[in-house]
Amino acid sequence: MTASRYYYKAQLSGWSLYILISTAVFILTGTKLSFDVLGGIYLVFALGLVVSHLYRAIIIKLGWLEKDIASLIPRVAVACIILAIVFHGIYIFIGNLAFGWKLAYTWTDANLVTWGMLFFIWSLIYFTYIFFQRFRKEEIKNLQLESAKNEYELRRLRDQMNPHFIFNAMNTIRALIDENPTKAKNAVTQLSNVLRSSLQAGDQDLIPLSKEIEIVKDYLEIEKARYEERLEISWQVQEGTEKVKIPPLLLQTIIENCIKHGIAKLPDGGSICIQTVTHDDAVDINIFNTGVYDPNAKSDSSLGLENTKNRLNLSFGKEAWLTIGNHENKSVLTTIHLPLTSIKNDKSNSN
Amino acid sequence: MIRAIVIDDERLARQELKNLLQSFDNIQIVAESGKPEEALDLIEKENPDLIFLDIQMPGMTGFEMLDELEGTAPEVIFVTAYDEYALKAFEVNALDYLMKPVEESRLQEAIEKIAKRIAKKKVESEGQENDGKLELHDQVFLKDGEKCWFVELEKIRLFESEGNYVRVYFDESRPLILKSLNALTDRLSEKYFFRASRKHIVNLRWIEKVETWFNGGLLVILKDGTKVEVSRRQSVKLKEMMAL
Repeated sequence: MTASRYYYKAQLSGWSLYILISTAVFILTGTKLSFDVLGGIYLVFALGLVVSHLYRAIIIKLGWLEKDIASLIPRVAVACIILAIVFHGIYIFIGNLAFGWKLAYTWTDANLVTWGMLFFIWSLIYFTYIFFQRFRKEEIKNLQLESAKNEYELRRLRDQMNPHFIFNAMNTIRALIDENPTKAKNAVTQLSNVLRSSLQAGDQDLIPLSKEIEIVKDYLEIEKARYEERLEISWQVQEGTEKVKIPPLLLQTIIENCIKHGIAKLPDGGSICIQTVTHDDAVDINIFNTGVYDPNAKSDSSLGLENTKNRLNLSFGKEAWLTIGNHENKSVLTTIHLPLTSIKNDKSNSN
Repeated sequence: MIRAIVIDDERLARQELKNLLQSFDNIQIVAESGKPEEALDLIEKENPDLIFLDIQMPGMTGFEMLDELEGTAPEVIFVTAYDEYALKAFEVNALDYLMKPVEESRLQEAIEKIAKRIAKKKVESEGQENDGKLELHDQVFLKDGEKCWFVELEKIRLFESEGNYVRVYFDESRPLILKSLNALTDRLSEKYFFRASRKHIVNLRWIEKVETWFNGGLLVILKDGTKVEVSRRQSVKLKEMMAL
């Protein structure tokens, strides 16, 4: 809306400027401002408005607004020549009719060059404005893109740090300092380990399951201190499974969700059991937690679950998968299926 | 002495708060609870001046628990670790809150502020007979979607029934709460609140003037200009009350 208002203003003032300049030139060169001369100037003004407006319509129609400078230059040059020829024809035709001029169309008429120049200047102004606008729009788009990216990154980092967990842990530790200083000391170490691992998570594509289990154990110890008898934890790690590789914090994310959607919502608490089982060429990590899984729930966690699946897919393709569903005894079973082959030829290195 | 209840599902979080509160001579902790349902009974029974309330609890959030409160709402200091939604609610609704781990100076500020409010309330309600119903200086907790308020009943001009809901008129707000007008009539003191019709309860202190209406009914005009029709049967009652 404002753009087209600019256009009309520019059109009017541009062609008015033509009147001013040519009148001034005639006066300075001592030409008498006869009816014919003035008529000619105003005829150019009126015709210029109409023809250049049609020219603009053609520019838009032909999609020149999206073209780059290199492909525009020859097109505009040809357009200016054609416009000058057509313009001259109409100019003579109307001039002869309205003012009784007796002009004939000759190719040597200097006016042809003038008209060509006029349309060239017109094109120059018009496309300069278009390019300037395009540049500004792109700049705004880039800035928006960048800020969206920053915001996403910030949110990702914050989610990874899990502030709710950190501040509750700090509060628990504060209480433990009076009640059980040894436990408080241990909790500080465990919290440090969890924080360190989430800071380092981006450094490696895959880590051994044994390392991931260490982090999860530290994390669960802190949650155990918080929830006390409301949280029961059991581990059944089959020998040999610890060597399988897993994307860092993948198991941790799932355990966090078990706490958030399971234990934290149950007044009488519940249990988490983590079990690893070997198959011929794969390892299953089964996580049983008290609670109910609602596949239709649209929450941050369902997004997190998608994210976890994507990470598995990125690291192992179709050889790894994640399933989640309700299990017997009001518990939810999450299974992470990891290929054992990744121990021998680590695919992540080629990534 | 301010009688307080600590409500948090984590024992250590309650312990930590109790440790901090030990240095406050004017606070007496009369009970603590780790379960919102149990806490509701305790509030009913102990009628505390103040509760310290966690937001994230299993079964019911702190806000939902307050919404369930039947009687007068005590003063509330919310205590939470980190919860974007709750933080927004605190700011929007100007509620008193503390962040875990609690800083002693912030705790002191919050208690001083609330001690003043409690003292004022005690002076105002002195000498009044208490029949267990809500008086003008009692405050209630109102929740409408994301927004919530602690309102003193003297500020409420009018209750208007809208289907299963009741619209509450006070200050510039008019939230819709899930209550029945009959239940409200039972809880509000008749000395201050008058059931004008099937649809309305008015605060008598807010009546500007009363005009006769057709069919022998009355029309009550409130100080803010709101007009409320009084049913024929209730008009007789209102006339009797005013004649006294």
